[in-house]
Amino acid sequence: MRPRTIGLPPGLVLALVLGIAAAGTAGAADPSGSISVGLGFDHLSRTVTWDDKTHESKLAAGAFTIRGEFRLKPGLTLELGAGLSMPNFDGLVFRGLPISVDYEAGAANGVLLGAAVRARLAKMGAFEIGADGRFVYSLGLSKTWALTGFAVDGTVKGSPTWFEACGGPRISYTGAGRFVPYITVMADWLSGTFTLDQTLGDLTGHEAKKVQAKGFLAASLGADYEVLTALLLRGEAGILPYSGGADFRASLGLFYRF
Amino acid sequence: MKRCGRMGFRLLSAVLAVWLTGFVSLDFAQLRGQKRNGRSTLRGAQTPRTVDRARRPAISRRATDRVLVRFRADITAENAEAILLTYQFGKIRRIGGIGVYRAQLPPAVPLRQALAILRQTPDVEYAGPDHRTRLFAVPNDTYFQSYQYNLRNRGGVLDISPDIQPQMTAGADIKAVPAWDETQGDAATVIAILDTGIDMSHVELQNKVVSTGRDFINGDMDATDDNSHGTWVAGIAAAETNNGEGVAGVAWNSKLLPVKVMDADGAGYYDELIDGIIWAADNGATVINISAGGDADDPALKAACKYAYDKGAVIVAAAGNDTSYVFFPAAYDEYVLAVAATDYNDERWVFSSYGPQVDVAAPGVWILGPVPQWFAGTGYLPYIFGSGTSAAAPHVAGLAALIKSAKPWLRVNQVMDIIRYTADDVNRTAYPGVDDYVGYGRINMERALVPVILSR
Repeated sequence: MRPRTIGLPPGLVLALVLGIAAAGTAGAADPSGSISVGLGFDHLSRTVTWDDKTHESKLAAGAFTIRGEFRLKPGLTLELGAGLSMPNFDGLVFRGLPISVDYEAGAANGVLLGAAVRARLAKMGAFEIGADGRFVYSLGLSKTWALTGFAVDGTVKGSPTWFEACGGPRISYTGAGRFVPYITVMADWLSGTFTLDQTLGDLTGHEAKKVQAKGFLAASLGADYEVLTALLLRGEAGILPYSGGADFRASLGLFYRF
Repeated sequence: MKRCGRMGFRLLSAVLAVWLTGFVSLDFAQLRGQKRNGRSTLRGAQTPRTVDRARRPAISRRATDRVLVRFRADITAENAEAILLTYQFGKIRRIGGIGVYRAQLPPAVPLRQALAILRQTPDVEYAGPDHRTRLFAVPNDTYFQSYQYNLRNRGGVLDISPDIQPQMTAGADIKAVPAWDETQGDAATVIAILDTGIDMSHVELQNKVVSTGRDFINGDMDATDDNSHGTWVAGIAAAETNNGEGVAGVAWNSKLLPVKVMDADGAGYYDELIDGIIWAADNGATVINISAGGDADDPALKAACKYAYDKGAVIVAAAGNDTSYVFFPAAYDEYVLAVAATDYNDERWVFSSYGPQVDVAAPGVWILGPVPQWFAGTGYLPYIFGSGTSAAAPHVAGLAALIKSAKPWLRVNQVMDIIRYTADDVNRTAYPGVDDYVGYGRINMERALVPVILSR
């Protein structure tokens, strides 16, 4: 098995830079040290290209996560999450194996880890200008299929891995009481690898199909709604345009603040 | 002979027996052009295509962004479209006449989920993916439909002559047509034919040979066939295909390298065969076909096979005819694929040699292939029916060439394993699993080349 390598994507760099910058400029109005925990569901549907951008298919992924939000200092929040992701790589074709394979097996589960930094940079009346940065990594749980119809026994083991990094400015409106709508425009980078390992008698093969999302910009509209003093509902929907179309993602989270 | 009459041929019922150095026997029946046709030679082959058709584009078998939906008969067009719009399907187009709609998936909804939603909708009669269509690679060669059961067997009678009309079993073939949809080979893949030479002026072969080859019998660089056996074998492996005449070869676009190691009588010695194997390996052969052999194990012959194997050439050899042992070099199990013969019913040819070294089988009974015009005789078309493991081997050589065309990075042993593991165990009732008669079974090109679909 070849080692997997993941480069540092521009979106992650941007998120880190924005986070670090925000740490020094955050306002002093918010209490620091508070912790929120919650549950969330994320869904994304991305058009991905592969084999040197010569082919494309859809990557759809849903993820259930447990999240923790830590207010590190006033205006600076770190959110960590972990959960189960269900990426669907249908449509990928593997011609680099001894016996070629078309993948049509639907979602393959994975463990998802995520981090997000949210920072307030400036406040102008009821508007806050800040920066968001997010990084999500999904490590696929391997799944095995039996190869049937051959003279010898065989299997194909698949394992999907993908990550998404994004970062950019955020404008929030705080003049509506418990309801805080916001808009973000982010640079977005999604990349993944689906590996298949094939064994058929004495034959073995390995193919890693690298996929990359089309489009590098995400515009999202979201809102935080304080249902109760300690209960926060957060929803967000975004569109990711690319040449010839647009992708979509959405998330919903419920937090309890201690 | 109605069919032959329609085609303008009559069949010469003469059956010849040719004995090649004591290790390959063949039965021939010739096709002859009708005199009223006034044509005893065939027109020249068409200019070869320059389009690279070596590989089918690696695309999914169905669209991932749209579906086809049919609603119940009592659902009006307005209601049908309203339902689709409710589920946020876009770019809705009605296909007139049968009330089927093509609809773009809603944003963020994967195909499987969209189909599940539609199938749960009571008003929907059918919802399915928009499957990809493709051209079926059925060659237009004149005799493909009627005589080349070995490539595609649709059952019925194999109408060879009034006296020879065996009943065939549909499907008793090497599944060439679906495999050709995946790959038809490429010119970079060269099959060396170590035999009596090749008729390089034959319409089926003149554009397929990469050079005039090497003649180890006469010591020159002109491997012209003076027997007919090599031409016949070469045509089975890689005759000019889809050229509107004659026969189809297994590896459409692969090239041929003629290497003459047997004389006009079909006789030769190991030293010439050894020379031929090494020369072929040194001169770009991807696959080496040896429809010949001897009954003596010889370290030099084995060393030559190892040399070619190490050089990356897949060696395919006929198992032999009418013996209870496998001939050499076919018996060199590590380096050579030994090929037995089956017939139009997927039954082992009774004269096919057998032994534990047999790897696979391929059709070898009444196989139509090209021969030199001088051999067929004036007024006869230069094609002939023949039987033997000599005919079986080039089917496997052609498959090896197609596999190497599609996946040039594969090692020799991997190609050999793919051919073995994908074979159909045609005699599993009597001998389940690998056996001495057909090895792993009759080769199956479709299973070897067409992708497996991983589904839930």
